Amino acid sequence: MNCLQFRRTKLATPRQMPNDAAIHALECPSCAEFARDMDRFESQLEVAVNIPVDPGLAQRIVLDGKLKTGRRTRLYAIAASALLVSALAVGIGYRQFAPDTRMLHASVDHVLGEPYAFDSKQAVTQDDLKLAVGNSGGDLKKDFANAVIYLHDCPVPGGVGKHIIWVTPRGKVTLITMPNQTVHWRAEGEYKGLITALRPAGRGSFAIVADNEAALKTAEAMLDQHIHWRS
Amino acid sequence: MVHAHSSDLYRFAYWLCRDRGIAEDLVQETFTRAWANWKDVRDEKSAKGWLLTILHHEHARLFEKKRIEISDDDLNDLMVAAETDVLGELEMRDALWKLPEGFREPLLLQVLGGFTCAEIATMVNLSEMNVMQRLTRARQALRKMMEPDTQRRANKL
Repeated sequence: MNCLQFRRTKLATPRQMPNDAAIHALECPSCAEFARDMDRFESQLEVAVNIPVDPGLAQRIVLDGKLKTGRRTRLYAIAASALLVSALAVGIGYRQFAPDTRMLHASVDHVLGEPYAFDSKQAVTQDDLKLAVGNSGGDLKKDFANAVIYLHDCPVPGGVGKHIIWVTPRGKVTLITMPNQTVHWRAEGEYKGLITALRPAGRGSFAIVADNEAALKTAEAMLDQHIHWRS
Repeated sequence: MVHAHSSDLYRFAYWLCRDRGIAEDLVQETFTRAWANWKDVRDEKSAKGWLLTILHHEHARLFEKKRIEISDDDLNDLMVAAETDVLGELEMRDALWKLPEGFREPLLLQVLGGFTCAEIATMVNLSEMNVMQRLTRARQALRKMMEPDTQRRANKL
């Protein structure tokens, strides 16, 4: 194997190098250095492609598959409904006693579970934002779509909500809407190094998650200026 | 099977479409089709490749592409663009996103799935030689984009 063959092989199949490649690397310091450099590159590549995956994904797929499968559909739907009713009953009972910390924590966990979202450069239009805010019973008083870098539907407590990240003068801040989770007053908490405010929305509630108090306050002030929550 | 393979399928789908919602839909559709054709699986070991192949077809179908058309110009433009781009803290991820899909897909199948060139060739309906060429060029392009500006300047001299 010559240098050209060695490098071509290393670029195409870096983890499946033939035996004569190892012999060549022993004889050629330049190719050996190239191989080490490629190994470092491969490690970086592997880390980059392994994006975090929502731990609930497999469960949702299984449930979805069951709901789509032939005759057993009804049985599973009934079972799922019974489970949902039980969960709601337990949830409602639990909420009588539990503070809103459960929702605060869920919001922080959601943010920490999607760190790549902060690197997004998604182009969000005023209509996208209007729709997202409307989903939680809000009207856009002033557009701030140009500050938004990420807007997606996400699983949130109670169903599906919006995961929105926008840039404030104090840094990037996350808004998570939970249209099916009602809260009656503002709650604030700190969890895993992030500070969160939970507030009632026109429909359900929303959480603002920031990495510092100033950013949280700025974000809340911005939302108050830009969104009217219908009562 | 879902628990064993859904994460890799999701990652593969995500890097193809860059949208978490669509990626999850693709994975769900993949498993729906897989359940309907479970008899086609020869053994557990081949299941992952089979599922990734279904996902590849589902993605192509979703975007109404029977086959991903690429030209070398795409990659050449990219390598020229890298001369001026200032890459940020997530250089590798950005660089991956910038790779044309026809190069990114075989690379993902190799890195995420651990498949050989021959296996990838079967999955994406290309020749083995073509897959090797794409893998080589994909890595060259990524390395080029990942070069620090200073090194890039030095290489130009």
